Amino acid sequence: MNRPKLRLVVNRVIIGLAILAILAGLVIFSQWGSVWLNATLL
Amino acid sequence: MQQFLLKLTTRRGWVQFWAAVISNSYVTQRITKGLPCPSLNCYACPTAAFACPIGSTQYFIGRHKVPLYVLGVISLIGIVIGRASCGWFCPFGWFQEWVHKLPVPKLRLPNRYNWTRYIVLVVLVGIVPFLTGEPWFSKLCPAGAVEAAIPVALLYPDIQAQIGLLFWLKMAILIGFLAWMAVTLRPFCRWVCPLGALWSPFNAISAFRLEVNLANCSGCNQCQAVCPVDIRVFEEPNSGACIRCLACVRACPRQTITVATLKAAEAPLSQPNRALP
Repeated sequence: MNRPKLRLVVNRVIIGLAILAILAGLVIFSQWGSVWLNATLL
Repeated sequence: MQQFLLKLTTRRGWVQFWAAVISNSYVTQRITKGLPCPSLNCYACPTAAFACPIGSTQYFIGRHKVPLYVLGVISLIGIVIGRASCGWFCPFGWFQEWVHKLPVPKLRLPNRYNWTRYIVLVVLVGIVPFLTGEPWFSKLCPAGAVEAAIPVALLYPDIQAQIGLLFWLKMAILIGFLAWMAVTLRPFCRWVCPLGALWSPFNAISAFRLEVNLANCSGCNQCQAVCPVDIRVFEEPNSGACIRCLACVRACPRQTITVATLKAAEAPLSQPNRALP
């Protein structure tokens, strides 16, 4: 497989994995409401 | 698309301005604060509309959980547009560009040691929060100092009473960076930013990319001269340091550098990208 084609395949695989990670984070682990950060700045 | 993007590069400052306004628009907070911001924007800013992706990552790591959702969003942005968010949407990147306009002597620094941002990512965003449960990068972050620590201290008198050593340490770091920003363009992005470090490897495989037709290149080096992160664009158009500001595309006198998509880059007539992570 030549390099541009390999890049394209890697790109598509990562898009798929990223979408799966978002769905898993949201649906299975309910992470939406947990992205708050307790700001301890001072 | 090429013509549209070239025209847009002349208004990049306005895009950055509106991105900063939208990121801190306050009114959408209730709905959008569960969404990681597509740039380094402090969650603790009183008007922040989104969650800081790095702050959120530390939150989960500090609780020994995998930040699947946040890393998924970061990866999705990176795989589509690479580090374009750094060049177009990041309020702190925009702030650095303004500070650099100060009339002081300028210093161009090579990219030789820009791997330090990976150390910041691993140590301050990964290991230290994992061991201490505290978001130590956010505690020291100069973007947080500008967008949150100073406004919060000014706005809320009861908070002023709590100001301690950490606040002054944060101010000292900010002052150091302000001096560095004045002489070198975007030092935080180049040597420190962990979000930039997360996005850097995506430049080599992102859908939005740059392409160089070496047969047409005269070697005038105009691209490097205008590059805010000092890349030799004709050698590594998809370098991990590139923030996709497209200044090189506009500056190239022979239109050697073009914007491409991953599919278009496969066309047999175009030169292969020399992608370096």
